[in-house]
Amino acid sequence: MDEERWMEDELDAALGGIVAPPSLSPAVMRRVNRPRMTRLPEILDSIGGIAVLVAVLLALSPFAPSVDPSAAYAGLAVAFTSLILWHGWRSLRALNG
Amino acid sequence: MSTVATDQQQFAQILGEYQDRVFRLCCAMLGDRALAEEAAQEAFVRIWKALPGFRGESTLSTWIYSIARNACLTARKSKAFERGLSLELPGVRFAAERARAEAPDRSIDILRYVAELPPHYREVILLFHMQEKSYEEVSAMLDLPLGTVKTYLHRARKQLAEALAAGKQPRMTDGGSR
Repeated sequence: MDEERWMEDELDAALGGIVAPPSLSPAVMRRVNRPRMTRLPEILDSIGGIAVLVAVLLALSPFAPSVDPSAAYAGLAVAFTSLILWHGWRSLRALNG
Repeated sequence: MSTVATDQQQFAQILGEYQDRVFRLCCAMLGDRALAEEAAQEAFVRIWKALPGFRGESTLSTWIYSIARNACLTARKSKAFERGLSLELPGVRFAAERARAEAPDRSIDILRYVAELPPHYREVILLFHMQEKSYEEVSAMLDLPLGTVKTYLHRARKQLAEALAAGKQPRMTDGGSR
């Protein structure tokens, strides 16, 4: 019986009265009041970038007669799209901190 | 604009009223002060985001505890928690650190026995003693029926007593008068 009492007292002493640290509430309020981030500008940037590159490729296409046009376009498109997506991914990472 | 102001007011009230209980729940489930604080923060941010959609289908406390439990489950998957687990079991490290800081000469062996309990018994016994021995609160916080809480607590105590009786006597700090 004494041991049970001792056990209860020990648990009360170790665990009773735990309260949230004073830093919790201000930290939550800081996070809640932080302006909400949006990914829309980054997405629009990527779409715009791809559109510009497509336009440039179309404009340059008459000056590359010796290359198989479909393969050249596909290669260039993949290269530039990859570049833009990589750039967009870096932006998103920076945006998310 | 007034809705936003009302939400902010309501949220500030919730934060003030529930921060201790949410933090204790996180402590019991995660065992590490830093992780518990981080999970409690995350829970309140989720509460803030979901507050406009809260329709009162469950009680506010049930809804809050459910978000807090989910935040803890997410935190349990984190690398920091996995690293922590390899050092000491959840729920106990925090209590041991606190007890050591408050009374360095006090025996904290009992917490080592608690560490050996199965996780569901451990969570119940930790929360029960953190929550001023309220069965109802523990039941609401862990979303367990009241009878299950009492059963787990009874079994946890029994296992603890058996461990103590099995020859691993903890050091009595004041001659056993407590």
